[in-house]
Formats: sequence, C-alpha cells, structure tokens
Amino acid sequence: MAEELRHERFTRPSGRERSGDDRRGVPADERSTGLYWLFLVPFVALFVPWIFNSSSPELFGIPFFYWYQLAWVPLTVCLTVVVYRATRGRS
Amino acid sequence: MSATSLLVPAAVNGVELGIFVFLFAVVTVLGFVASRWRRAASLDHLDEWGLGGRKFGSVISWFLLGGDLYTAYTFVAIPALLFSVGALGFFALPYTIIMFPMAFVVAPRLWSVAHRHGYVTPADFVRGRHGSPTLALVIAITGIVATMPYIALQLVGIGAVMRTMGISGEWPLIIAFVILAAYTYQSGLRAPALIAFVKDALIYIVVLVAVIYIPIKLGGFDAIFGAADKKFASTPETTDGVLLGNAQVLGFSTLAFGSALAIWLYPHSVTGLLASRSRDTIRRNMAALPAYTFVLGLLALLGLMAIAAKVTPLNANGKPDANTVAPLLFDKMFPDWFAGVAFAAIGIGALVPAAIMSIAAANLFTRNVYKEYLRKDASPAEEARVSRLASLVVKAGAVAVILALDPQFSIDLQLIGGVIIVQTLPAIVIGLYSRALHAWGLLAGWLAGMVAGLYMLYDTANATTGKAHFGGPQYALANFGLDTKVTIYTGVLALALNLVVAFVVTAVLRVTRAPQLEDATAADDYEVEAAPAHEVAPMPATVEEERRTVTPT
Repeated sequence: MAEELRHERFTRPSGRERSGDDRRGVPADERSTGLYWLFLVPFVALFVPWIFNSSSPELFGIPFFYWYQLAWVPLTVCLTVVVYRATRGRS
Repeated sequence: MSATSLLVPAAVNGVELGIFVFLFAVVTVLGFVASRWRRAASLDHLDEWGLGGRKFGSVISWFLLGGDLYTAYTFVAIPALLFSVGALGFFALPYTIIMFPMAFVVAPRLWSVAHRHGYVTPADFVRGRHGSPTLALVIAITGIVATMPYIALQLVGIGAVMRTMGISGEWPLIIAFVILAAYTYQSGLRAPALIAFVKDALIYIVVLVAVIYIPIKLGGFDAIFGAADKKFASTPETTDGVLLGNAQVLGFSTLAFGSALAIWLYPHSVTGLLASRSRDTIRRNMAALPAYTFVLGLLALLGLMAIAAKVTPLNANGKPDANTVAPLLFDKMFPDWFAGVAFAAIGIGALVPAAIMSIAAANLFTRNVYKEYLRKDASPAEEARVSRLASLVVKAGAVAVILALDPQFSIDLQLIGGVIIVQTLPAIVIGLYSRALHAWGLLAGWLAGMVAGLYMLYDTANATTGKAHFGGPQYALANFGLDTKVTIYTGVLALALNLVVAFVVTAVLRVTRAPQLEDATAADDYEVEAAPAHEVAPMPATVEEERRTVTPT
C-alpha cells in the first residue's frame, strides 16, 4: 500500500502534459464564495489612513492611530473565521 | 577582516552570549534531526527535500509560514523604522493584516493547480499556464534576484544582535551560515519547519514580556509617546512624527498595499504555501497567522520605547545603525539572561527564513533553469541533488554579498527586490484567474515595470541619509510635474505601468492574430482539494480499536 502510494507520487507527470490524464485531487467543497467581498471592509478601514490619522481618543496612553490599527488584527481574524466557516462545504 | 576582530573583546556579556550559544546549539541539533522527522523513504525527490513531502498540516504550516514571513530583519528593521521616522514605519501593520484575506482568496487556487500538476515553484505554474518557457525563466530569475538580498539581510539581523552583545567581526556570521547551510542541505524544508517551533515560541515569550515589562519601567505608554513626539518635533525633517504628515498618507497606504501584494509573490512564500497538506490547511491558516501580526505590531512599538529609553544606536561604518535599537533596548531593559533569550530569538529568527529562502531559490534554479534549459531529462533524484547543491551556492552568495559589499547595498537591493517581485503579479495572480493576458504581453509588461521601477528607485534621493540614489521606496509625484509633496510607493506605480503595457500589447497581439500558446491547465484544476485516499489511515493501536474501526456501524 505505502509502496504503491510512493510510486504514484514519484511518477507523477511533471505538469508538461495536458491535465486530462492527471486527475490528482478531488473537487474542492466550497460554497458561497461571494462572501469574499466582505474582505473589502478591512481593506477600506486600513487603506484610508485619513480616517485614523489622529492621536485622540487615546487608549492606555496609546494614540488612536496605533490602537485602531492593532484592533483590526482581531477584527480581521473574526471576519476570516466567519467567511471560512460560511464558505466551507459540508465535509 | 582585521586581526583584532578574531579575538573576543572584553566588553562581551558572558551570560547573554552563553544563552545565545546554547539555544543556537539546540536548534542546530534540531536542524539535523529534522531529516528523520516524518521521514519519507528517501529525500531523493524535490517534493521531499524542497517541499517537506507536501504534507504539513495546519499546525506545522502555521509555524512554518510564520517563521517564513516574519523574518529577523523584520524584527530589527521595523522597530528601527519607527525609531527613525515614527508613524510611517507602522505601515507594517496594515500590510501584514491585509495580506491574509488576500491570500485566503487567491492562494488556494495556486495550491490546487500546483497539487494537480506537481508544480514546485511559481515559475512552474507560469510555464504550464502561459505556455512560454521564456516567461517562466524571467519569473524565475526575478524571484532569485529578489530573494538573494533578502537572505543577505537575515545576516544583517544576526549582525545587529552580535554587535549588541559586544562581538564584532564577521566570523560568527560565517559560522552561523555554514551550520545553517549544512543542515538545510541535509534535511531540506523539514529543518526550518522544525526549528520554527523554537523560533516562534521564543519570539512570543520575548515580545509578550517586552510589551508589558518595558512600558512599566518607562512610566507607561503616555511617557513613551510623549518622548517620541518630543524627539520628532526637535528634528528639522517633516517626514517623521508620531502621526503621518498630510503628504505621507498616500505613501503610507500604497506602501502597505504594495508590500502585501509583494509578500506572497516571493518564492519562499510560495514554498511555504505549497508545503501544506491541503487547500483547507491554507484557508484555515489565513485566519490563524495574524497572531504574528499582532506580535509584529507590538514589536514595532519597541522602536518608540527605545526613544523613551534614550537608546543611542551603535555605529556601523561610521554611521549610526538604527537596526541595533531593538537589541540595545533589550540589553538595557532586561536582566542579562533574558536579553540572551531575546537575542537568540532574533538570531534563530534569521535562520528559519534564510533556510526557506535558499531552498526556494534553489528550487527555482533547478526546475526553471536547469531542467528547462540544461538537462531536460533530469530525473527527480537528480533534481533533488541539484537543488541541494544550489542551496549551498545561494547561501555562499548571500554571505559573500554581505562581506564584500557595504550592508547598505543589501538594504538597497532588498528595496529593489520588493519593487521587482511585484512585477511578477500579472503573470501569477491574474494567471490564476484568467488567460486574458498573452505571455508576450506579460513579458512586455514585466519589462516595462522593471525598467520604470528601477529608474524611479534610482531617481529617489534621501535628504536624511544624504544618498543621491536609491533613497527609499517612495516616489514623489512632483517628478511627474504635479505641484505636490505627495509620494507613492514605487512598486505600485511600476505595477500600474506593467498592467497597462500587458493589456495593450495583448490587445495588439489579438488584433494581429499572434499564435495562442498552450495552456496545460484546465478550469477545474484551480479548485482541487487533496483526495482523502492519499491519506493512509494509521494502523490501529489495539485489537479493540481495530475491531471498532473494522466493524461497520
């Protein structure tokens, strides 16, 4: 079994051939990929510095410019997790 | 190298050095042991040596990609940038936030097509998709040229730590790189993957301690930002400050955006992605990797803390070297033993990306130069052998660059590297979605982007450092005759030209009925997941377990 797998790996066509005879892998199970547009939210929030280029309000003495951008780390993570779960297929 | 640099000067801190050497020895052992880790039958295949067998799961990929993307140079250069110019240096944060959603959308397509066709490098994909070996060669060479100075800069990171510990001279760097070269040759991508566990654990510990302990010692963030504000206000330059100047805002966001585009096009990033076991592994990791971004953001603030702690950078070649401020801050604030841990974190942090980068560059040479042009019938075993040797050449080259040339030259090259690697975006990223652009159009666009990018960098002076050329990544719009102080990231400007030329030339080629080149990929290749059949179920450990799994439920 293991030997067979090894053989399969090591004799894989180099990619020069047309893909018709090389069917490695199965169709990915993903859906609702339109949700990817949600990623425009952190894009706009972070690439328009005019909205956060100020020192107040401060948080623990840290100017707004710095803590606002730091806050977008967990916010983007949450968004990514939501999108990941919503676009993942049944399996 | 002078004779005195061969001797250890009296100012060396024994405790710091002892801990540094100890941790360095630990990862060296790990590097060699890694060849036995999740061992394949042999490493005589490029998939094994160069991609770790393409079977790293979520956790290993997280460490590997984290170790790959957040380099030692980042850890010293970003605080150095905040120390020197303030807010502009914080571009690293939006950059390293947005790079993950971008990769979440695009990277799975690259993984899928590489999985189906056995591609090892980004240029392999370009070869298959656009049907032009010339375009693939150009993409491969761009990748190698952009990667070499990046490896050299990892030495700058180790060098900054060494100088802070009181060790001058180049021999420690040479020793470190010889050891690194030896275990990379031996273990391939498994070595940095295993070492990344140690590197990241150390980095997290150091940064968490630093951002709690140092502000307390300095009297809180109020005092830190107050001191930084005072320093920036006292300088004659208008480009520094705790906040961005009006003319800097566009430069800040285009630099962040351009850097996020560039990072995934580097060959070492692609190597890290393709080593993942599955498409799902990549998608998951894009949600988990920003943990490093948070750490980087906190680390960046160390540059401002260094101002408040009145750190004076050490001199290198007669000029103050801001890259030493983060190590100096650790040296000043922490007890010796913990400063040693922090230095080891930075030093080991240089080894992981340097190893992956040299593997990626070696794979590009093997697959897209050697196999394509020199030995078309090279067997997989020969590919692996050539790649291992090429990785040694790449590292020797990086050391030679650092020793023979001014380190400033590497920093200039790295600046150029970011601008030129972005020029591969149309061929790779647009190629992942469509064949709208013809290979010859992509070549023309690449050429235009390269020439324009290099010219704009050459044309940029820096008043602060007194350099007439290659003064920074920001190009003044005043150069286009506009009456403004606004600057834009050079890479983005060059990419815009690249895209325009690529589309125009493609349109001309369509009208003139130029030959369509072959596309080796099919539409569904881009949405492929690893087949479950490829995963061999582990042997049941006990008779009961076997009975349970065999009995149908």
